[in-house]
Amino acid sequence: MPGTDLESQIAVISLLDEPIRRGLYLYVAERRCEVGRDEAARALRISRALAAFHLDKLVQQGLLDASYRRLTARRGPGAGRPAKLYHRSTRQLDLTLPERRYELAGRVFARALTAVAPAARGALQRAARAEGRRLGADAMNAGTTPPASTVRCGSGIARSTPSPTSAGPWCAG
Amino acid sequence: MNLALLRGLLAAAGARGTRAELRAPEAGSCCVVLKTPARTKR
Repeated sequence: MPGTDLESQIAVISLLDEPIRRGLYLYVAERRCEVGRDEAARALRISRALAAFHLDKLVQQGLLDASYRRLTARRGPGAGRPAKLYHRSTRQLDLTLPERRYELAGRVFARALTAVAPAARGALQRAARAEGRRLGADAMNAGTTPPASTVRCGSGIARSTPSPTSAGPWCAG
Repeated sequence: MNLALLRGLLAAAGARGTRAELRAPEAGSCCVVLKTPARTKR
């Protein structure tokens, strides 16, 4: 069992070095809804047993959460067991080597900005918009396409976007 | 801040029709969503 938080995070990230496991994690993370073993296996073109093995590994390390739910309206005897479904956990990894605490620095800056509000609020909005424009221009120069469609999942209506500290400008972080 | 960032990004990327909006936070998701009008079938 890893000791420090840094060691723990390295252990979790190293779990994703395995290509199939990484593929499963990315698939589930991007779906924005619960994913069953069958669906995950089909998506990665692997066996259901292999998908189940890796998905459960990801649950053990806290990268995914699991729940059980019946996927059909059938109830009672013969209805079968509820399906095990997976979704991305809320666990957040923030690994930098050498170790830096950018989130802590961000909180300090946010507190300072709040103290001098409301003038700082406008400056913060302008800075965020300028940074967004920079990211968008970079993406255009790199030939990356902007988000083109809404991801629909169950009753969900749209694709969520990450905070500025998440990976990628518009991945479903 | 996230909303302003995404709006700036969409403007620079020329993502016409896609808009960033605030939505109530939910587990595993922050509260800015990107919405694109549904395409009509011909």
